[in-house]
Amino acid sequence: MSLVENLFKSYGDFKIDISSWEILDEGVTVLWGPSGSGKTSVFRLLIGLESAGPAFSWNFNGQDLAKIKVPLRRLGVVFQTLDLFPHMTAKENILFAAKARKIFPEESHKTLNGLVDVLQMKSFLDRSAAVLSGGEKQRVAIARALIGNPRMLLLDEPFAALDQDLRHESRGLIKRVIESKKIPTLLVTHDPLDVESLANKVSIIKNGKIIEDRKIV
Amino acid sequence: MISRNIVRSFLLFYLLFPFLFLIYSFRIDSWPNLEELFWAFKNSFIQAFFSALFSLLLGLWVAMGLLSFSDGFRRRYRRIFEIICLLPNFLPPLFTLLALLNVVDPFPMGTIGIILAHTAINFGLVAVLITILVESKIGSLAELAEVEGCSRWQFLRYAFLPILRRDLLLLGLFVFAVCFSGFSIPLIVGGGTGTTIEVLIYEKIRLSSNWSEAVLLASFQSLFIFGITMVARKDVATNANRIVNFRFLRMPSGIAILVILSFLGFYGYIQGVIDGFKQVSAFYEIQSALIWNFLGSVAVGLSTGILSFASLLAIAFCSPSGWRERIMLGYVAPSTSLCCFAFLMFGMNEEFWPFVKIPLALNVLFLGALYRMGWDGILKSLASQIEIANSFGASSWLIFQEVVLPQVASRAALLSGIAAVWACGDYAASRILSHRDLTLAMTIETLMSSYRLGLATVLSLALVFCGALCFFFMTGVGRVFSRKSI
Repeated sequence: MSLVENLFKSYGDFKIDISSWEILDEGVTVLWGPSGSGKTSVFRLLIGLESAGPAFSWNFNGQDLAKIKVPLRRLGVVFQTLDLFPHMTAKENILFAAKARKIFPEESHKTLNGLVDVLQMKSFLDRSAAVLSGGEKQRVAIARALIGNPRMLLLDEPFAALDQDLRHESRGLIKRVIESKKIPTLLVTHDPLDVESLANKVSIIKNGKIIEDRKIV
Repeated sequence: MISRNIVRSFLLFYLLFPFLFLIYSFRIDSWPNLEELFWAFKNSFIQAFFSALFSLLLGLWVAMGLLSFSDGFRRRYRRIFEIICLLPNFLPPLFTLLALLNVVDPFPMGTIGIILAHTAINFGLVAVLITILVESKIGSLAELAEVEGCSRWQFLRYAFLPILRRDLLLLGLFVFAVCFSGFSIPLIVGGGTGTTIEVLIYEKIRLSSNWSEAVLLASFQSLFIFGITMVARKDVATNANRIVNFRFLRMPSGIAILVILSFLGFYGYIQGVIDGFKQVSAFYEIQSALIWNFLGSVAVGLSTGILSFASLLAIAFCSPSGWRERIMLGYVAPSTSLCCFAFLMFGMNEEFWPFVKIPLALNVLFLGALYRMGWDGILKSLASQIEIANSFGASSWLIFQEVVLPQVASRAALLSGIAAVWACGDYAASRILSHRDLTLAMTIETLMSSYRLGLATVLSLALVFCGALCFFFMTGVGRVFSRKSI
């Protein structure tokens, strides 16, 4: 079980105020809420890109992730903007993350081959990231997040930049990857369809507070 | 592995070195004569105010001309006019001065002369910045107003000026700050009546060795400029993302005035070259010195370029950093003369030392300007990539080497190339740090001071070659560093 406690942060007239919140250690936890509800702030606080107060703790299988440095938290992250490195190819983007985690080249190439198959990336693997389509960029961003063997995958509105048809296809793809890798995932979204097709648990956030938390059978 | 904190501390120490050294070395034992201070402040203020005002007015006019080339096939020619506009800012001030002194005869030495030179240097840059502002902020509004039947006057009064008033004011403040602390122009054309604070500091040290008053004057000036710069800092408007028809605002006379002024400048320069070639035999006796001066210029240009390149990359390595951004945006080098005298007082000054100290001083003086010339924007645009690389656990060195460097090296080289060109044309800082003419620019200034304008203009051709050499060397360095390492 992964338990987030005392996640408080003030942004002047807006506050994140979560005293206790459970994230599933298997399957997908969806943090759902309307625009401006604080989803992305919670996402950034969990990753460590913004600092929460000293009381914040994130107990993940006995380890307090809140107390360790960002790089050592070993989280796989995909932002809404995807943020591929435009001067690298798709393959270089993915291998960069492996290099960052100091994974041996043989091992990272092996993992890469597996991801290429699951995410169907063979046709554009050597293409520059700057010229990839939205859907292709998204798959590269997911592979990049997964290649470092993260303890958890965090996705912030990963389908926001895609059109309706592609969103449907991408949801299926992500579901397949998560199931094959058996990696706990936190998905931040405002789209009810994401909840419908991916969630094992949904937490509803409003004005910086979790107002509803329920498992989906 | 080099820690980012070590690089940050070193960078901060380097930028603040002139301040620290002066604070450490000198005690305030006398206060400047208030009458003298007020007189110099008044001169600085008047020349900076009118330089900013005329640059803004002329720039606005030329910007309306540039807007005539904002759509269709005409857009292709716009780049040519923009290059003409930016040339006086890109080239060392020496060239604008040579052109002006050849055209305006007799040249009005003093405050009017300074205003004339500062306006000639800055109005083109102002015009290009106003054009970008208009396109990004009121482009579609102008089209809508035209369709709705609004008159040009109504649009200017009720939309153009109210929307852009703040930006124009900030632009004016920026030019004011640059002119207020200018040293090279007042040094040559200021004369006795136009002595600015900057020149007064120079005279206090050079003529009367009065360091304590010089330090006080420099502190006063630095605080004033720092305040202005902090007010004038702003986000530069981005380019418009769609082509807009600016029939409504076009003013072809703006292009006409740009062409006329550029022609006059060019004509003056060529006239100077022709006059100079008639007396070229005067160079025979100093030809060996000229060869050494040429090599000296190349050495100063390249060293400054390389130092600027390293400094810009060091800033990128430390990025993102909130304090770095705040300090660099508000950073004003101490007065040119004081900064150079600080380096002069530190260590030895004979043999090759001027070639070490001149680039170090010029780099301190140029870095703030280079940072504001787009380096801040580039680093900001990489912030999210750095953030994501950081979340993968990448070390700061890996992020710099594989994410930042390949994307910024060519721009760093371009900016360093500009710094190298400026350094080739520097005579003011070099004059303080060396007692003899080491570079072509110093020789040119000596010739100008002895009213041998033609010879100075001919010699400036060699300076063009020298500047081009350094510029292309730096862009080559950028290409090498841009190679990806993954």
